[in-house]
Amino acid sequence: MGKVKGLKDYLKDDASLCRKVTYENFMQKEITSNNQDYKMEDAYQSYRKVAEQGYRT
Amino acid sequence: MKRELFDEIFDREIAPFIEEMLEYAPFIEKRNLAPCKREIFNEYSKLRVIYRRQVYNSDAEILDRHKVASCMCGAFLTVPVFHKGHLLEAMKQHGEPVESFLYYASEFAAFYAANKFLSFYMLCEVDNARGIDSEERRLRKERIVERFPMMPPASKVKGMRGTWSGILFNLSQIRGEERLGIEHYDLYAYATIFFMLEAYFNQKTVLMEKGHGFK
Repeated sequence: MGKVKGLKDYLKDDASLCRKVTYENFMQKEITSNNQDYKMEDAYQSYRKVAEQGYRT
Repeated sequence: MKRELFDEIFDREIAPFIEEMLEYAPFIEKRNLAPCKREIFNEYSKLRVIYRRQVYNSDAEILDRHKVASCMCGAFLTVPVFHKGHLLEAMKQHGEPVESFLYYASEFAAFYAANKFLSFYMLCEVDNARGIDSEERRLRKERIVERFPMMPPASKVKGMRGTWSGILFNLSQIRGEERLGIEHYDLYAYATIFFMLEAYFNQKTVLMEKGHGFK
């Protein structure tokens, strides 16, 4: 049997896991992660802009 | 699963993964793994009972492997191998940027452990599969050991972020400091995620067998 899938293989799968991150940047992400959703009004406006221009998917 | 078996799996399969993580950041400290291991097993046993009662309204039914994996993941989250507060304090004291996965070290161990247990069941299924020759059986088992789980393509920005970092981040949001507990961990949702990971792996390996250019 060959090599067992381990930590390095996971890190190879997803290179972003090895991105160097400072404590400050990590905390910033932790704190703001729940506040990044746009307001529904803004989201709807984005839709309206596209819809009024006649785009169809 | 008996306690002795869990201990053996933890010592032989999970603990080395934790030690390997520490090689990236020797300044962080893991918890004492002996009591940790005991607590994780107890938590796992508790979650299994909860799940069985919720799903089957019975203590007798055996849980399928994805639910077992989900319970295992939940147990490791509830009893983390690193205290998040201590971990972050160490990062802060260190001052230098470190690999992002280290901020999710406990979640990574939980996810890894769950996948590891799931892979045991997958191997067992191959062992009991009918109609395949010994070479095919060997090949399938080798693929599971070496490559499961495969990362499904998921990225907000192409090439920047994969499924693993997304899962670890979500797991870390479930288990915030000082509010440990499973109340925010969705056993059903994570059982489905493990089901999907196995399905994705099976789909990809079938494509490999058919000679499609998959790595």
